[in-house]
Amino acid sequence: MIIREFGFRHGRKALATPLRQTWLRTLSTETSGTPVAFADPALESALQGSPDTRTVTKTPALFNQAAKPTRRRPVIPDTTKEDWEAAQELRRNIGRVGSRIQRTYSPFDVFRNPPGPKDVTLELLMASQAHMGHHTSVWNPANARYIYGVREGIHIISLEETAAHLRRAARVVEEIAYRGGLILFVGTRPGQTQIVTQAARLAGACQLFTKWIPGTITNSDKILNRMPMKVVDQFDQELQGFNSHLMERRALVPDLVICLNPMENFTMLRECGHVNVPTIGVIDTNAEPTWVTYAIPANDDSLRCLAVIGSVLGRAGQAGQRRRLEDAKKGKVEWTTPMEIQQWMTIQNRQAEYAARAAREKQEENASAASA
Amino acid sequence: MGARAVRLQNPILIDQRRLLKASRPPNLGARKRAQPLAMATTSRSVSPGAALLRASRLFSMPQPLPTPTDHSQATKHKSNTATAPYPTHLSITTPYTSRLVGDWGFKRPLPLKTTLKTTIPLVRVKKVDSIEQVTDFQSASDHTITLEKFQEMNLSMSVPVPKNSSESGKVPRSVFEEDGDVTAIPKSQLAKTETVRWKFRGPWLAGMTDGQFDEYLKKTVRPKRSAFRNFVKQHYAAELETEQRQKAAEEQREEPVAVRAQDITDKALTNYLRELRQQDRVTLFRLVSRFLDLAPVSNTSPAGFLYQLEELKPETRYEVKNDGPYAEAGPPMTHPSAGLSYLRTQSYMDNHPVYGPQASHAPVKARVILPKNGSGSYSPKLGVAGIVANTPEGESAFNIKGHSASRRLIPGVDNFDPEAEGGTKEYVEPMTAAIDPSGKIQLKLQDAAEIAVNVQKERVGEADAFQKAVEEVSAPAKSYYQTQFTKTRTPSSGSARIGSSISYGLSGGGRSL
Repeated sequence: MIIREFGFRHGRKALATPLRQTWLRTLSTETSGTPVAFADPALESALQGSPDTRTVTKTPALFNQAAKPTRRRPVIPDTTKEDWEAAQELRRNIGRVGSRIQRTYSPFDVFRNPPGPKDVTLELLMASQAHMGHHTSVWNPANARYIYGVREGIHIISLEETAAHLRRAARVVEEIAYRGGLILFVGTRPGQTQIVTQAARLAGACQLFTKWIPGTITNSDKILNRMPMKVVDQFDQELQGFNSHLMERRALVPDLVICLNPMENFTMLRECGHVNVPTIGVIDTNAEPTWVTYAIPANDDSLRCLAVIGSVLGRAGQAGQRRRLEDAKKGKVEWTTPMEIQQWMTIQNRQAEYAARAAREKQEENASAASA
Repeated sequence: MGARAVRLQNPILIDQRRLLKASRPPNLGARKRAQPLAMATTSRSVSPGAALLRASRLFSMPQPLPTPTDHSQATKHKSNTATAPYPTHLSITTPYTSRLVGDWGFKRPLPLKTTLKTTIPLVRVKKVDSIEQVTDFQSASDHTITLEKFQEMNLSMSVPVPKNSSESGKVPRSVFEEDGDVTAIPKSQLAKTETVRWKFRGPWLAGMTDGQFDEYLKKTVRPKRSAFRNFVKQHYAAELETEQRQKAAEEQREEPVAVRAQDITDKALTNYLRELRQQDRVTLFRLVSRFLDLAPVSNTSPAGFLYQLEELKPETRYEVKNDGPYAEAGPPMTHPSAGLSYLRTQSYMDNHPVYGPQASHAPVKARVILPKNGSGSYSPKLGVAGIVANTPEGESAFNIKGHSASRRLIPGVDNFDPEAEGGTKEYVEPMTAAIDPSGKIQLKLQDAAEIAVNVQKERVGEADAFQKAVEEVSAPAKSYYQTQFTKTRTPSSGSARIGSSISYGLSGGGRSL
């Protein structure tokens, strides 16, 4: 080991820093006796075949400027291609052997492929926990007609009742969508956001997944002031020229409200009742069924159940919208222009007439004056 | 749809695009009152929804067992988080994808905070919905994993052997032996099987409190008074007939006519009962207990045969029976296997891939949970596979009586060993398991064979017995004692994982959850 030229070669900086392990390795003339594992047997035999020649021919790196840097790790041959080919071969040979695992249920199926009114079965409702009511002591006796019995301390809602009422509600949604009504889906409990947004997206409806501001309907002049609105024709194309009407008209009121948790939205249902807006609600055994117009007796705590109900109603709305647009293309429109717009249009027409007449008269006057 | 994106700070996102359209919904409300009730009300039992519900998982949940009551706990320090002696509720699990959204199949999603970040997803639901409108549940991993660990020991359940019994040294009998494991017994066989069977219609009188006994008399026994008189009448008739026949045989007369029960007058019967009560209480108790099918009490108890030796009627033949397994502590509350193990015996031989057939089963690691001398003097307790057990009976590695050079004392059994990390652990071999009347598992252990311990240690990665043996062959001979006990007790890093069943000293095997 020669270290007298070390400082000369590497300078002050190298001497100041402590010696690193790699450098110590280059200073050493002795080979370490540590056996090294080689991935490649050929390489291993080549290296271990002549240990004497290896030690003799090897010179310290310090003496030999052209010496290649010694590798600390043995070279591992890249076998990616061979491994991949072997795996493909294995797959070809035994890929079809064994049982096939069939995926029967995933909690996200209801969002990937939302069930519609045609898919409502008792099995689906039971699997989605629609039958589980509340503890028997918190029941509302008005729901007795929906209750099948008591089990595990809770009321069991009859699956037939749920299915029938859900189908009826789906029919309501579809018809209102067909007649161009404005539908609002409401679900304000945590976890219901996805359900509500999906249903609203399917049905082309509005959504509410946060708190209902009390007075949104009864005090809409203040709360919904300056909310943007537009006027569309039967093909859902926006119509221009209604700006003066939109500036002065009152806020919109939905034509149907679907509420997934009526217990927390009493105020909203009450406001809907004041302005005769029909409501659909999921009524659990502790809820008051008269709060809503169309009750769906089901479990309102299970997100799985609400996802099924929401997607069924959303699909129903989707079907109604599709039917409406198809009929509009054939020239069949099942809705009439609202009274306010009719009046506004009448006034506009009349004003236009007046303006035209005044212009004409003025023109005539001018003409007569000119002739005179 | 452009209008929807405006004013996002307002939570209400009302699509106001279709202003010109129907202001009122179609007239569908007229049919609102028409309820499709007919199907549900007329024939509920056959409606498809009812059939579905009856086959559902919610409806097939078993009723919870009564909670274990131990009156002595009132005066003892009791931990709130202690595991109950036996499970009372069904353990429930759910697939991972459903667990992600909290769906366990109940009324509402269970909170993710407690059910998602858990190693063992098992819950027991105490109330599907409560008056506070929450689902009452807790983790059920305690009993379920204990059962799993118990079944890994491959023990068979045996009939409990009473203390100081003549059978205490014998091979334990399985609870599935055919003579004892019968529940459908014809009436004629009831008396014959009373010392072997475990199921009785009546209670075990020795285990009843005063109040329970009064209640039992009032509710169950008194209404059966006339039936009992008939029962005694038949017994009396049979006794009379035997007596007359014996007399006739002695006097060499011809056989008398059979005595019929209906021929016995009420007065004679009352006299007979009076006689029984005053002079032959043993027969009276036997009649009562057979009539009510009472669980047997010990012969040495106040109602028992040996206790009343002085009051036996002279010149009468008495049938004396053994106590049977359940006379001393009472019959079990369930089938004596309690569903823990359905093995009939553990007389099988383990095979090792290198060492061949093994003389003893794989030993199990036990933890000393209560040393002999702590704040008082106790009998030391061991924890084996989640079950508390006594140390092996008699002279054992846990209880060395004389001074013996060949045996070592396990540190931590007599006194708490602060050096041992995680407490003292030692391999033992489980012998028998039985269920006591209060539902607890009674595990009997014995010292594990040294060779079996070495093999097991190698198996779980705590030692390398094979390598050592190879070295020994080439190295100069050493005594077996030196090779085994001079090594350090620190476990080497083998294939054992901390917290796995293997590191508990149990054989491997995946959890099938």
